Amino acid sequence: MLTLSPVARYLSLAPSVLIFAALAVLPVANLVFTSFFEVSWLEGRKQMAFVGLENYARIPGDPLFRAGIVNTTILVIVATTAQVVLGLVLALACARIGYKSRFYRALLILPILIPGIVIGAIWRLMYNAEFGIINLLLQAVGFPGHDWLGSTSTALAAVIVVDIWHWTPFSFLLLLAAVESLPRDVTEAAKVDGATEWQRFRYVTFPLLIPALMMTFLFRAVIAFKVFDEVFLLTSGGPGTATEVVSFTIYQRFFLQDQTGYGSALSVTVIAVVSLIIVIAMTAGSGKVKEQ
Amino acid sequence: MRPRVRQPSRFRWGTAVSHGLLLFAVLMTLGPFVYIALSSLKTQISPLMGEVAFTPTMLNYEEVLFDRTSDYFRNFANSLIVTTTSTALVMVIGFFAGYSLFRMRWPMSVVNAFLVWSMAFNLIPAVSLAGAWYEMARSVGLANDYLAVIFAYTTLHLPMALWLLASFFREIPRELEEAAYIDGAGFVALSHCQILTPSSGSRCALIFAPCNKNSAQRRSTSHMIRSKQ
Repeated sequence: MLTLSPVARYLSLAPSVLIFAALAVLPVANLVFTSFFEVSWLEGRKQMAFVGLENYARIPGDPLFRAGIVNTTILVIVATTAQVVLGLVLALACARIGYKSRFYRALLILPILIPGIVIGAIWRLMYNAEFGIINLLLQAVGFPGHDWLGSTSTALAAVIVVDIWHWTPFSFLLLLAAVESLPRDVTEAAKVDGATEWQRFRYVTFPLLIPALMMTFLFRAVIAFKVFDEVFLLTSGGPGTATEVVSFTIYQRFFLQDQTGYGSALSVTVIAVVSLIIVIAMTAGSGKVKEQ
Repeated sequence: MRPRVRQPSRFRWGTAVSHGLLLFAVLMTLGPFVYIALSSLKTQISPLMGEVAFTPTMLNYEEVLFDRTSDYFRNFANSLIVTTTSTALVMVIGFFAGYSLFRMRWPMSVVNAFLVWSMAFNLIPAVSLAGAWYEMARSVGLANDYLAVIFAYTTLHLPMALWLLASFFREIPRELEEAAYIDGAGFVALSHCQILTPSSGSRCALIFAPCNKNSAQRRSTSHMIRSKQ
């Protein structure tokens, strides 16, 4: 057994502890602390007045926050589901082709290598009502053009499409690794027993993939919940509150309107709600996996 | 190795469908890239007029790269500095922490505390921390400084790195290290230079990729950190 000096033991962990304590724990503690105050600026000096739970009491009635929660929930559920389904289909297709699919793999993961800001810029140009490529193509086949980002009915859907385009490669990568590490012998046993292709998928491959699917879904959902860059560039939450998402609400309250105390309360609430959802999802998920 | 058996011909159409699907997906993926590449060769007015055929021009590139008012190189250098430094920091710190947590007999509570924190930290929108970071940076005189942004990004990416490295250190067989130790290798030579680093190269690349691609996202957060007054 390896024996190392206790100094090395502490030294190796010290930098991470320092960073976590100073730059992660402290700001979050600061956030919780600030959320009980009303912060204002007077001649460059910070003025803090204790207001108790008043900031939290304001949250349920905040129209921006309400719209943000609803839109974010829709976005997370629709986009994440689509990404997991598409990612699974592509992963299965790649696994079936085998080694020759490396050409597709290399090209398919391109979008996750591009920063969200750039993707927002590209799609904003493509969605443009007058000269965007999407409307030009639609008009070429005889449909009328549409202001995708500018009308309340399609703005959120347009943002979701971009998110799906951006992040499907991510779930594809995770699921491809899962599909490729599946044991071959069970599928082959099923084949010998005369199971059709669909039956093999439905009763062998799919159940084996459920843990990986759950993991991918959870992982993606967490990132989707924090969506900011794309919305910021595509619509800035508009028109009206049609694409207002939680991160953007926090940004607006915190930075644009300088409501530091209230913004902190919003952040703390969001963190608490998401942690709760994840704990519930993980307990439910692990229960389901055990049953099978 | 299984002997290569010729697939029965009824599977062929399944393969064809797979190829078709993947080809379609690739086209959908590349479409926006091609579009933006073509647009970059157009004059400002050309897309406004909805021109389909156009004569390519390098004007835009000249403006971005060589114009006297262009700050492209400056911004690019900023991104490069922040990215490389914070990624290097994340890798070194994460590497030692991951090794320490899984090889140095820390009590399970310490290990779990780290992993739970790494997961929980991923949930916090970076936006909500930017304000606190800005104030901290300002109070120690680092506002509008590379260091503030570098530390911010190190903090943001460390949890993910720790997760990936942790699962990796669990997989590397301990025997590999013990063998080297018996042969007389010291701690540094042993684990970090000769055994673990080569076998974890791919994992480090995995960490590098997401950190790196965020270089432009960096700008949005760093913008917030720097400009909030």
